[in-house]
Amino acid sequence: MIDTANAFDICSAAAAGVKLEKLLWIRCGGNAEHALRAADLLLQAGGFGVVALDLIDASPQALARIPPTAWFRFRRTIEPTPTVFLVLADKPLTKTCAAKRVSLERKKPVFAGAAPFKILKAG
Amino acid sequence: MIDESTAVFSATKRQLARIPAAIPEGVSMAAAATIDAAILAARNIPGRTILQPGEEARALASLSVDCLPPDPEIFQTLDLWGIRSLGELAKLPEDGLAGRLGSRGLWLQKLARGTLDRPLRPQSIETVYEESAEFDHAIELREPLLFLIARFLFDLTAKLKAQSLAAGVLDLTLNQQERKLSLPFPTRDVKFLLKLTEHSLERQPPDAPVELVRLRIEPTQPRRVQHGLFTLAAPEPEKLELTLGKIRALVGEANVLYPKLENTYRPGHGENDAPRFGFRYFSPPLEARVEPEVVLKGGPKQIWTRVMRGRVLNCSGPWRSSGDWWRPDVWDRDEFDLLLEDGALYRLVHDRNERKWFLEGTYD
Repeated sequence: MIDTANAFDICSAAAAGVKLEKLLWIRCGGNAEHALRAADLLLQAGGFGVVALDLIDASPQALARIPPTAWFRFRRTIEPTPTVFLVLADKPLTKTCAAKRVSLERKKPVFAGAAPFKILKAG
Repeated sequence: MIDESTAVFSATKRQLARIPAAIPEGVSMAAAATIDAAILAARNIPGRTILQPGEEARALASLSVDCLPPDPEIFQTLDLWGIRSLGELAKLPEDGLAGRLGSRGLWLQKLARGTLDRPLRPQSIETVYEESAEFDHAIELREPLLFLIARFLFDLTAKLKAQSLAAGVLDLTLNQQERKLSLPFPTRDVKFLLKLTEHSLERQPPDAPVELVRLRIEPTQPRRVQHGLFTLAAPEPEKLELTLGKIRALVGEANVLYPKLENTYRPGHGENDAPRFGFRYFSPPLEARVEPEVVLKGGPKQIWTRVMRGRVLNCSGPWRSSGDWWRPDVWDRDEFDLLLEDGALYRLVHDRNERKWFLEGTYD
């Protein structure tokens, strides 16, 4: 997991079933260039089942500076391998380079119970 | 060497014959068919003693029982029986001795008779795997420094190979600055060790031109790897470590990690934290202003931060948590889950120590 904005929550990941002992977490402190460079290095090294690049909270200026050819290069690197390169973003970034595009929406939140014991539950 | 004063060698008859009859004052030597008979004779019979096979018991008979390896309990029993010499001990019946003093008693009797036969085991000399160099003109560039370190690594790994060992830890000293490179696995691969050293020098360059280089390797047993047919493919360890080294140089040592839940209630760290659905942190947390300032029933109604603001449609909380009061990083906070009018869902935290409000993150 290449975490551009240091947003990753290990508790909710563990609750969702992620095996933390098999996870390598790289925090980039908001630097999208570092995140892309780290992704390049990991994909070149090979051997990973999934490399996830989280660009959700990256600034629009940083995302605009990513050259489109970068995605083609990433695609060429992983094509002969079983590695899945997962790019997470607020808007489509990889365009035609993506083998699949998945759009996610949060379920409507449910507040159950009455104050002061109202709790937030997943919808 | 048995100890500081006794050395044991195996020798042929021809070699024994060449030993001069007169040996220096204060030195004793003995030769026998068994190691322990030779040691007992050398330590207790002054001068030069050559025992032919079968003569050991006769030669050792007059020596005191105290010459044997100490065993206070058995020696006390022998004293009660009136056994004072090795000859008297040797004459005791074996069955009776075994029944009364056990296998240890039998072993001592064999020593007394000079019949205990054991092979010589070579004592390995502790080798220090270290190379160093001092320069009249300090080295300022990295390439010549790496060239020298490579030469050290070639020599040291060759020594390790001769002893069937591998490198476990590298200690590199540049001037007076020491750095320890712990290897993820034992290896003798010079290229890999050199790359790791190079990455370390990139992350932490020397403070001044280098006048002294010392490289020390702590040896360990080499890695033994057995591959399985059904083992999942994983990155090669050497390649992974070099890649992680480059990434650490890019983002910092502390930002490349294998996450682990700890046994704590501290929010966001612990296996005891309440399970929740997808959450993303704001890093750093967003300082917020809420209205009303003093939040009673129903939670805050309005919230402002530097990047957003909105009216709160629904709210759960406050949920109070605190802990680690004995540590400097004590936490004491009230948490709220807020649904704003734009549909966004946030976690709001009131830090009771700092008396400040923060948006900690958003539910994904």
